[in-house]
Amino acid sequence: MTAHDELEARYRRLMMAYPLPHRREYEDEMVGVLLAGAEPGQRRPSVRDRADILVNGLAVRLRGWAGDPGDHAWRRAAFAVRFVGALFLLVVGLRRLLPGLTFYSGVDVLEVARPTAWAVVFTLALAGLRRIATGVAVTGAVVEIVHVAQWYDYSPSQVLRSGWLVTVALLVVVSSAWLAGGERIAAPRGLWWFGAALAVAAGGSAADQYQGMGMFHGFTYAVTLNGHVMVRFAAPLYLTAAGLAGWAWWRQGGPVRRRILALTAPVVGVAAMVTYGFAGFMYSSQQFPSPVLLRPVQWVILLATPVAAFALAAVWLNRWERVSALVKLGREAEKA
Amino acid sequence: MREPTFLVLTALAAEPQHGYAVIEDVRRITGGRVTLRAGTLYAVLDRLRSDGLVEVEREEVVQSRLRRYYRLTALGERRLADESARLLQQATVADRRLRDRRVRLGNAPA
Repeated sequence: MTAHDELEARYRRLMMAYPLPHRREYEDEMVGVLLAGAEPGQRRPSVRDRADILVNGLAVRLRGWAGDPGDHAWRRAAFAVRFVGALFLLVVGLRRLLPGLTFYSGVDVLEVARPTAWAVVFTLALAGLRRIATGVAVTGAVVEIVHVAQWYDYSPSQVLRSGWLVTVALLVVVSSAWLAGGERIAAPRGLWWFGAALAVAAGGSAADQYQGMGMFHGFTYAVTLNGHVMVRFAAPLYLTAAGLAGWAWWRQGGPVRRRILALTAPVVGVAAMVTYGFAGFMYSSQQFPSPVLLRPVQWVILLATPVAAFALAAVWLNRWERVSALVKLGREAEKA
Repeated sequence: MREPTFLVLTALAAEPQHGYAVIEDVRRITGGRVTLRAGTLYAVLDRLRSDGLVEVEREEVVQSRLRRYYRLTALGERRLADESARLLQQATVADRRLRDRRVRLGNAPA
């Protein structure tokens, strides 16, 4: 086997990094280009060529599995998630901060930093200062993580319960980083309905606090307290908020709507994993005077859940859209 | 528009070229600063083809190997013109400011 043949065989093996349709289209051509650029007598691909082929092969495969992350609908969905996520974290932070200020029970630095960071992220993102917004979002996420982590030693179940909130913060970071480069996206239509939904939900939360309903979990319209039936004032407010959020989501149009769902899959995944996968841990951890801490494998599961949830959602979305496009083509062909 | 994309479009603006000729041309255009690797080049060409900015002009078989010539489409020409105008406008501003600065510093008291 000559050096040329050996080199060609090695390049062809490297081409396995690409998916089959891409190899069918470009393999011969790429190998020709690689051989044309090789040194006389060269038997092995250079490290740079290897790295270049492997990285680009992986990128083509990822695009095939999850669709094109640069496509307009994904970026619009990321805009919506960043907008709503930052606003939501701002409202959650204020809800925690304001009672402390009002009743002079005192607040710590982290409780002030949380809503401040998200207010800044929200303002910077709207002003179009995308990179600075991403930097502040990273700071905001670190503040959220530190705020939650400080309870870990004496209440790990509390940390688990707040896992979804930390995931929202990380989602805002990822969405901001995604939008930091490339073409600017105009604010998608109807996003302020999400803002209105959050404001109404915050009103509901305030009503619950006023009525002392904070102890009741789950959704109820009324409760019996000391023999008296109390109508929950917050119930219609929460229903209105859900309706407004649903309307805002619906107005984004099919492709963006589906991508918003895929982007929020990590939050749902973490919440579901904590509720169902860690139910035993949550119960038993609180039964001991010194709480049981998470084991390394549990941390791995917890950290892998949002990534796996997004990957699954993106693959499902890509498949579904491809099948829908094929069905549409078939129907049009039948009509013609 | 990323630099490799801009450079590939610039190479094809001269005439239709095959992959290796594009790599050589990009090296010439950039004075040897940029050498596109095959993986990067075909990632760019694939993207440009699917966006309709570039198309295959003809195919040849040279020494038992497929060789495709790519050319700019009308849309590709417009995009390249827009990007070129944008870069030129920014470079003009930078150039003017640098000249002003030199004059200012040159006239400044030591």
